[in-house]
Amino acid sequence: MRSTFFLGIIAGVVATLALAWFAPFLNQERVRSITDVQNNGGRVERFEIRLPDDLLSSVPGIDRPDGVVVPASAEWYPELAPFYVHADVYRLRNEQGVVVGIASRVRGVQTRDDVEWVLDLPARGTLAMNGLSADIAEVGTIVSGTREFTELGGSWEARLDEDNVWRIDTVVQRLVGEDE
Amino acid sequence: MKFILTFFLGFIPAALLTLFALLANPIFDSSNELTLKSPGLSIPVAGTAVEPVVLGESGYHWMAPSPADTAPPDVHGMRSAFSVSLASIDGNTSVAYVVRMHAVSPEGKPLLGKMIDRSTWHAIIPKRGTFIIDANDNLWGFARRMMFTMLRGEIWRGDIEYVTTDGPVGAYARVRGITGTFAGQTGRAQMRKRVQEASMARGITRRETVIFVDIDETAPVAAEQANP
Repeated sequence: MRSTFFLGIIAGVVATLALAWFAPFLNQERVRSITDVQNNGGRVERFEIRLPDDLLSSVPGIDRPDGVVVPASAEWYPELAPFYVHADVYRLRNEQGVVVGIASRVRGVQTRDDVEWVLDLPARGTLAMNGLSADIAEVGTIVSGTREFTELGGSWEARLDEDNVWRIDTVVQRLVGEDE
Repeated sequence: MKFILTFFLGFIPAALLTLFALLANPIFDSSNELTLKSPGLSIPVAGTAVEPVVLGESGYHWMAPSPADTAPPDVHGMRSAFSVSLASIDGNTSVAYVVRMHAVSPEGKPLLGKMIDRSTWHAIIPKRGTFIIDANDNLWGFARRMMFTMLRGEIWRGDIEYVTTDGPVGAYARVRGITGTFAGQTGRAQMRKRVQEASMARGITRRETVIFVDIDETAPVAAEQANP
């Protein structure tokens, strides 16, 4: 009887340690990626931002060339002004409209026309992109990435359509020489 | 039957005691060493806004959003959150715009001292350039000290400070330059976080973070500021 009791103690300790080691902490849901492969290489993926609902935060800068109305919930903190660049944070959706991450867009750090986006997809990684903006049409290159997007480059285009949706098309490619 | 009862008389207390020992043990409480003090760029961030974004319909609920009047989402989903801050740098002569986008990582093992929060920081230093920081922060030290108070529904108050950076490159976060003087450069960073007040209902309500960045810079950008 005593040995059964001690066996129970040992089993209790071992079971708890096994639970601590093997049990998953949380199940982070990953939404299925919607990508196409280009004929000449590269993976195409489109993201969307639906304005004004997806605008989470905004630093208006000196002007608002895109004419977006900032909702009251996203009002900037006046004590932090003035700030010379135009910076927004958005919900980021995939092509089917499912929220898959957060996007940070900054315009005017160096010149009036420069723009950069950082797309953060928690289940996958981050894409950092820069380029040129002509208000509702933007184009540029993918300059850096993390996790799934590490060591990838490519290009991107974004446009703000008449239905007030930013559509961001990315083409990611393995950087030349990475396979060597 | 008697053997089964005897077995569980040993099993259940042993399991509970082991669980308590894992949760309360101070071995996992140690802060990482801060090695990036100077020279370099330090960015104090005093989290000004956090809003949850629901990314899925199953998963895990992290702490309530801050500020408290941010409406919680209706569905139980994994939350990704962000904060936006402006920080004075360079002896209050300049300001940095910093966006932090983060989510709790499934790779954590809280009972073994790992509660990993995975962050991407987007930092804009006007007249100099921009970079991103890819960081894993181990928040278990904070959680271990605060959770028993918070689980009782009370407000935790105190003063805890940790260097939380725990990867992805050893004990450092990875920095990648995007534009300006940081373009093409890589570096490393560490975060020091201080928490003074938190609750389950409102999340962390008094905190500050300082990011210590070690990244080379090229010559100053010649382009004229569009908005001087």
